Amino acid sequence: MIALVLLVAACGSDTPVDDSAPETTASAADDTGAPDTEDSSSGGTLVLAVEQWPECINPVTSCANATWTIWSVLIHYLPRLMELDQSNTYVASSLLVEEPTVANGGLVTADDGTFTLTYRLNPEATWSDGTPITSTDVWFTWRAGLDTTGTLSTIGLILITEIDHSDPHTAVITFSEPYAPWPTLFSGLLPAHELGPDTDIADKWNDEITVSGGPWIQEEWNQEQHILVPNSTYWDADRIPLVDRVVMVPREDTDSELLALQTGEAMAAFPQPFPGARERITGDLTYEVAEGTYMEGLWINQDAPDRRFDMTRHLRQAVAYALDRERVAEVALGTIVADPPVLQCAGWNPGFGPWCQDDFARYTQDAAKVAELLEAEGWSRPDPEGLWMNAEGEELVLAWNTVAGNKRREDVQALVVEMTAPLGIGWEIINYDPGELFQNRLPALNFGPVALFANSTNPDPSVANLYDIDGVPTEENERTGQNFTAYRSQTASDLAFAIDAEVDPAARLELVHQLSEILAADVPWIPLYMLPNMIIWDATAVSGPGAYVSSPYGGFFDMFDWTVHAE
Amino acid sequence: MARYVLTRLATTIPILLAISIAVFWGANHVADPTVSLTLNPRIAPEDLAAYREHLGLGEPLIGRYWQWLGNFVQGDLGTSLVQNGAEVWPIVRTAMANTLVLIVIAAIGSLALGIAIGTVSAVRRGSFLENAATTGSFLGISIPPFWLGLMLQLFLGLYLANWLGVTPPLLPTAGLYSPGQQGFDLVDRLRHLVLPAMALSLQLVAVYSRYMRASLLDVMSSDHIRAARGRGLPERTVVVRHGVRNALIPVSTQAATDAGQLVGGLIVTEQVFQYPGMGRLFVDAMLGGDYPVLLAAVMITAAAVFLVNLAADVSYGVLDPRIRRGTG
Repeated sequence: MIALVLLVAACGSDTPVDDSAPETTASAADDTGAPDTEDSSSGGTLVLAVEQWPECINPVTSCANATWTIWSVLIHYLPRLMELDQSNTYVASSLLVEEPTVANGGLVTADDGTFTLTYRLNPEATWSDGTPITSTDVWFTWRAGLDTTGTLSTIGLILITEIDHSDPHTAVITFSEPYAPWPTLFSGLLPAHELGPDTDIADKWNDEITVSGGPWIQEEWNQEQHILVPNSTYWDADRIPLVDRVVMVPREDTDSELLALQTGEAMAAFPQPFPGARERITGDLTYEVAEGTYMEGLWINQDAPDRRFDMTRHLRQAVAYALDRERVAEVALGTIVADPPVLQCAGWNPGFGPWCQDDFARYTQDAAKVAELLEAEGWSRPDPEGLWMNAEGEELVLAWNTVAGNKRREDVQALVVEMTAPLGIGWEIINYDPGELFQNRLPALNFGPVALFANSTNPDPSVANLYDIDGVPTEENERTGQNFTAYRSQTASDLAFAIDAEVDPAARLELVHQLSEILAADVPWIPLYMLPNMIIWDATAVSGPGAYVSSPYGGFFDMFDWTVHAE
Repeated sequence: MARYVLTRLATTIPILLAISIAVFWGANHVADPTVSLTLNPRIAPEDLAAYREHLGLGEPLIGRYWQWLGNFVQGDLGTSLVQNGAEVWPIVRTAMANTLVLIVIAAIGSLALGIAIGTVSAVRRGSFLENAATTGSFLGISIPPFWLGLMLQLFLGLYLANWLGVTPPLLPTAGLYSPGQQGFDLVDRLRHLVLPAMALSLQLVAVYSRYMRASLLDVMSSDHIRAARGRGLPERTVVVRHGVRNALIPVSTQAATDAGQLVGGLIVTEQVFQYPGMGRLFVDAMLGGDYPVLLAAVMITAAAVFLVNLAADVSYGVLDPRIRRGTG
C-alpha cells in the first residue's frame, strides 16, 4: 500500500541525481547538512514541525494514502523489502539477503506467462517485540492489502495469485502475469503475529503502531504530537538512532513552520517550498533544496475543442523552440533556489534514478527553428512584427489554461507571453479554479490546447496508461483514461506496454530510453522544471538534515543519523 | 417566562434544520473527501468506487441527509469520513473542551478589562486616560483577529524571546502544550493559552469598554445616583456600588449576545495558533469534505450560541423587569 502511495504522492527528480548529495544546495548558515560530530553529541530530543498532520495512521486504509502519514509515521516503523536509496533507485533493503534478479533466479517469467518473485529474508531481522520478521509477514501484508475494509491501493497486489511462506526466510510470490513495478510492492510490511489472524485490519493501528520493524518505536501519537524513541532491537547497525527521542508537532502552514523554527519551538521542518525562501530563511536557519516530487510543464491537448488549427508535431516543436526555458525556470523558482535547473525529461517519464535522459535539451529558444518548422506547414508571417498566420488566415494564438490564482504559474504565463511575442506566437490566457480544471476539463479534454500544471512522477516507470492510445479519455472508457494530451502514437503506446511487461530492470531501462527519445521528438508536452523539495533546520540546534530532501520517504527519513546539539 | 423560553426553543428547531441543510449541501459541494484519491493515477477506479461506496458517497444527497438527520436526533453523530471510521462524538468532544477553555478565558479576560477601561473612561472624562482608552478601543475594533494573531506571535512570541534570549519562547506561538509534554501541566497549558486568548479577546475588550463607558455615563446621570450623592456617600462608593453595578446589566447581557462573534473569531484564532478547538475542527472538516464532523461541529456550535443568546434574553428580563417580554 505504502509503496503504491509513494509512486504518486512522493516522488522525485526526473533528471539524473547525484548519488551522494541533493542537486541544489543553499544555506543561510555555515552548515552543509552533514552530521557534525565535533559540536554535537548523541542523545537529546529532536523536535520536528510537520506540515500535514495525518488524520489516522492505519497502514492500509485511506489514511495510508496521505503522504505525511508515510513521511511522519509509517516509514519509521514498517520495514521494506526493496528500498529507494539516495539516488532514488530501488535496492535491496537490509531486510533482504540479496536483491532478486533474473541472474540469481529471483525473477522468473514462466512459459505460461506467470511471474515468480523470490525474496530471501535476513534471518536476523526481528520486530521490536523480538518476533522474527518472516515470509508469513509478507503473506499477511498481501492479504491485508486486499481484505481490509476500505483498502485503496490494490494495484499489483491483485495480480498475486499465491505467496508461498512455508520457509520463514523465503517468500515466493507468484503473479498471474509479469509485473514490472514489483519493487514498489511490500514497502511497508505488517506483523502477522500482532495484527492477525484476521486479515481485515481496518479497526487496528488507527492511532497507535504497537510493534515496529524500523529504527524507531512509537511512544505516543495523537493529534497534538508524535513521540518516537529508538528501537533497541533494530538489527541494522547503520541505522541505530543517535538521539534519545523525537517529537513531531503539527505546524500546518509554511509561516507557522518558519516561526516555530525561528522561536526554537521546532528544530527542523520539511515544508513546501515557498516564494522568497532565499530571503526569508536567515540567521541560524539553514536549508537544503533538491528536486522534488512534481514536474511542471506545458501539456498540449491534441483534441482541444479549439479547432482553428491542429496542434501538429511541427507546431508543437515550434512552440518548444520559442521558449527560453532557463528564464522560465528562473521566474518560477528563482526566489526559492539559485539557478533552478531546467527539466529535460520526456513528459510523465519516471522521475527517478537513471530513467531520465536529456532528451529535451535540444529545445532552446531558436527563432530560426520556429520559422523553419512553421513555414514547412504553410504558416506565414506577413507582418514581421506580427503573428504567424496559416493558409486560412488564422493567427497563431494558443488558448492557455492553468490554475487561477497560482502566482508561480501566472508569472510563467506573463513571461512566456512576452517572450514569444517577438517570435510571432500569441496566447489567450483562460485560467480556472483547480476543481474546474482538473475534475471537469481535463477528463473531458476540454482545455487548451495548452495547459500548465504539475504532474507527479513515479519512482518506477509504469506509464502505459499515460501513453496508451486507448487511454485517451473518451465516452467509451467513461473518461477514465489518463492520456490527457490525446497523444496517439502506436509506437509509443506499444513501447509503454512493453516497459510495463519487462521485469528485468536493465532491459526496462533501455526501453524507457527508447520511449523518451520518441517523446522528445513528438513533444506531447514541454517540460519546464521540477518543483523542488526543501528542508529547513536550525543549525545551532541540530546536525544531519539534508541528505534525503528529494526522497519519496520525506526529508525526515534519515533522522536516525541526526544529532542535536548540547544546550 | 416559561412560555417565552418554550417559544424561543420551538423557533430554534427550524433554524437549526435550515442550518443543517445548508451546511450539508455546502459540504458536499465544496469538498469531496475522495478528491485527492481521484487524482491519484495509481489508485484503480474500481478500488476508488468501492471506497466511495464504503463511505456511502454513492447514495443520493437527500437520502444521505435523511439518514444523517435520523441518526443525529437519536444522538448518533456518525463516523468521520477521513479518519477511518472514527466516531465523531469523541472528536468533537475533545475540540469542544479545548475551545471552552479558550473561550472562557477570553470572555473573562475581555469582560474584566473592558469593564475596567470603560469605567475609567466614564469616570475620568476628558482625561488622557479616556482619550487613550477611546483611541485604543477604536484600534481594537478595527484590527482583524488574524492580523492581530500574527502580530502577537511575532512580537510577544519571537521578538520577546529573542530579546530575553530564551528558547523556546515564554509565550508559545502554537499548539496546546509544549512538544514532548506528557500528562497535564497547568502552567504549560496556560502559557499556550495566553496569545490565542489575547487575539480572541482584544476586539471584545474594545467593544465592552465602549459599552461600559456609555452605560456608566447613562447611569451616572440618573436620579438614584444624584440621591446617593445627596446622602453624602463617598464618590468611590457612588461609582462602584450604585453606578458600576447598574451599568453592568446591559454589558453582561451584551457579552452573552456576543457569543456568536466569539465563535467567528475562534475559527481564525485557532487556525493562526494551531489550537485544536472547534474552529480548527470546522475548517479541517470543511476542507476535507468530512461532512459528519462538519455538521456535528456546526450544529453543536449553533445550538450553543442559541442557548447562550436565550440565556442572555432571559437574564435581561429577570434583571430588568421593565423589559420582560409579554408584560409590557
